[in-house]
Amino acid sequence: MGEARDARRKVRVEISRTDPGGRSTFDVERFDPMTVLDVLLAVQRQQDPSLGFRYSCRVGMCNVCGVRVDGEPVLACRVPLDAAQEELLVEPMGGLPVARDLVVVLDQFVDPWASDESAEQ
Amino acid sequence: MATESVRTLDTDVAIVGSGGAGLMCVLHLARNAPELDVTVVSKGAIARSGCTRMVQGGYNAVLDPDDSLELHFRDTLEGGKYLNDQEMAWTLVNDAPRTIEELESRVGCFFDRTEDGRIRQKAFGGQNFDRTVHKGDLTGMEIMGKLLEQMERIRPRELGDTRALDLLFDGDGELAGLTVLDVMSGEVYVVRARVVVVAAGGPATMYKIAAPAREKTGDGVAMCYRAGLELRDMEMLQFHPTGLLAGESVLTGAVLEEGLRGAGAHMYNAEGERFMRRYDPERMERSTRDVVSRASYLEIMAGRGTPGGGVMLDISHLGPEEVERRFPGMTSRSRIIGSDLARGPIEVSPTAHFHMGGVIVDRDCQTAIPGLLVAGEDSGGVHGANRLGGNGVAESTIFGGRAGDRAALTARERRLRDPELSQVSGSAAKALAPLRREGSTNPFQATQELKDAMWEGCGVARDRRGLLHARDRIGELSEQTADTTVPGPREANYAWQEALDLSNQLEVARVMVESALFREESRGSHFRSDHPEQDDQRWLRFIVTRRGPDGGVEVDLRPVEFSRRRPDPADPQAEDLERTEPPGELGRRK
Repeated sequence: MGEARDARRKVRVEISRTDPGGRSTFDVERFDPMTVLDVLLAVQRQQDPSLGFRYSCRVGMCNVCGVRVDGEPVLACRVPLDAAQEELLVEPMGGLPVARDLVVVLDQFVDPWASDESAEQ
Repeated sequence: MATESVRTLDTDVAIVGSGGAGLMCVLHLARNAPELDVTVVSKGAIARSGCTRMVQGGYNAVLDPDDSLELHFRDTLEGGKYLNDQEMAWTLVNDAPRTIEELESRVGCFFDRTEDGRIRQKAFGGQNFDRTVHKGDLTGMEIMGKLLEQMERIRPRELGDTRALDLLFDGDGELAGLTVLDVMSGEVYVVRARVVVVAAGGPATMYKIAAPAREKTGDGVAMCYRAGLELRDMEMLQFHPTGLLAGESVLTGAVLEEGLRGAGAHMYNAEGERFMRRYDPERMERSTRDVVSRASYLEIMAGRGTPGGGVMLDISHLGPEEVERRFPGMTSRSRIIGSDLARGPIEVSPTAHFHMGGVIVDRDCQTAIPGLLVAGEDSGGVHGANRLGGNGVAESTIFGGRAGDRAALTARERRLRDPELSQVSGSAAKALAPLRREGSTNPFQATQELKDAMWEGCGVARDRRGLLHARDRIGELSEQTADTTVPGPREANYAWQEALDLSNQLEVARVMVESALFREESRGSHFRSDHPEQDDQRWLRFIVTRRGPDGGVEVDLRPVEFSRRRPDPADPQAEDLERTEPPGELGRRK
C-alpha cells in the first residue's frame, strides 16, 4: 500500500465551528485506511482538543456521528477518504440546532415521531 | 464551589445506562409498577450508545427440545472454568428462553427463522449445541431498535448525554441518589432516587486494541467501587479473537463476529498454517474465545504474525454470495477498510472486548448497599473466567429485566433522602476541576498511555514483571491526571469528558492489575506466562477487591460454591443438577 509514502501525505480539513464561529482549517497526516471520523479524531487528539463532535460505536451501528462532508450528509465512520483526496469540508447536519461545532441537538428530530398519537396506549 | 447552587431532580428509580440492561429494566418497571417515576441517565444518546446495539452474532437460549438447560449450564461453567457464581449462571440459562419469548412477543423483535417457522439458532464457540438466536449478524440493532420504540410508549424521563458522576448517601449512610453532569450544558446536578440501578457497561476501551463503543469506560464499576462495594473477578477481561486490524484507524479492534468461526472460518498464521491445530485440535477455530485469542497472540509473539501484527481469518471458501447473505454487516465492515471478507482472508487481532469481573450482586441484582442494584456487564459472577459468545446480550437483557422487577418492589420500601451536602459539592468540584486548572496534561494523550500500558502489561498474556510495570504506569498516570487540563467552554466539551472517563478508567485499571497480580495461575481469560498452568487446588477461588480505608486496593480470596455442579466431570455429583429454581435470595445483604 506504499505506507511509507502515505505516512507523509496530508489532508486538509476545514471544519465549521461555533466558538468563535466560522471555520477552522487543519492539516492532518494521512494514514490508510482513514475515515472522516479518523480525521476528526486526529484533529481533536493532536491539534485542537476543544473540537466538538459526537461518535459512539464507530462501526456504522449507532448513527450518532452524522455530519455533512462536502455538503453530503453521511456517517463520519462510514466514509473512507479516497486515496487521492487532499481536502474536505466538514459541517454539522443541516436543519437542526447546533450545540457546538459539529454537535447537533437531536431531540427535535426524534420528538415529532415520538409524539405520534399511536404511541400513546 | 459552595457558592454555586445545585439543582435537584427527584425520581423513584434512576437507571444509569441505556443499553439492553437499562432499557429492559425500564420495561419491567413499567409492567410491574407503572405508577413509578423512572429516569434513565445515559452518557451518550439513549439506546444508541453503548454496546448492546453493537451485538452481532446473537443470544444463547435453550429452545430446541434436543438441547437442555443442563447442557447450556455446563457449557457456561466449562467456558468459565468453574469460577462462575453458579446461581447467577443458572439464572441466566434458566431465564434465557422466556426472555427470548418476551423480546419477540412483548418488545416486538423478530429473530431469524427456519423454513418451518421455528427460531433459527446458529453455532457459536465453546458450545455443544447450536443455540445462538440471531437476526442476521446485526442482532443488537434489532433488540435496541425495538426497545427504543418501547421507550416511546412507556415514556420514562430520558436524560441523554448525561454522565453519572458519584453515588450519594445521606447522613445515616443510606443511598440517596447520584450526581450527574449534563454533557451538553456542562451543568452538574443531583438526582435523588429511592432506587439506583447501575447498568453502564464495562471498561474494555482502556486497551490499545479494543472493541466497545467509546462510552464504555467502566464508569459504573468505578462509581460502585468508590462507594465501597466489593468487586469480583476483576482480572478476567475477555479478548475477542477476531478484532479488525485497520492500522491507525479507530476501526481497529472492531469485532468480526463469532458466527464466522461458527460457520467454518479458518484462521492462519503468516506461514499459512491453521495454527489452532496445535492449541485445540478437536474444536479448532470453534474453541472458546480465551483459547483462540491466546493462540493468536502467541503466534504473533512467536514471529508468525502478519506485518500488521495479526493473523488471518478466512471464510471466503463458503463462496462470496453465501458470505454476503449470511454476514452482510461483517462484509460491509471489511469493505470500509478496503478488504473483502467475502472474497479473501482478512487481518485480525485479539481485541479487548468484555469484562467478566464486576460488582458482587445476587440473582436479583442486589448489592450490599440497600437500594442499589447493578445489572449487566457492571456485575460479576455470571461468566466466571471467560464468557461464551451469545451469553452477553442474554446477561444484559435478563438481569436488566430482573433489576426492574426488584426495583419495582424496593422503590416502594424506600423513601427519598437528602444527600450530604459535602458529598454533592465534593463530587461537583472533582468533576469541574479539569476546566479550572492551569496544568499541562492532555487527557487524550494520557488515555493513549493507559491503553498502551494495559495492552502491554495486563493484556492477553501477563507476567509478574509486566504487571508490576503496568501498576507503576497507572500510578504515574493517576498522579499526572491530577493535573489534567482541558480548554474550551463547559458545553459539549469532549476533551473534558475524556478527562472524566480517564479518571474512572484509571481507577478500574488499578483494581484489574492488582487482581491479575494476585492470581498466580492461568484460568480462562487470565493467562500468566509465568504461571501457565491452571491450578484448581489452590486457585479455584474467586478474587474479591474493595477500596481500603487508605484508598489502596484490598484483595481477598473466596471459595466458589459448587451449589449445582462440580468441576470434575468424573464426579457423580457433577450430573446432579436441580431442574427448578431455588427460592429467591432477595434479602441478601452484606
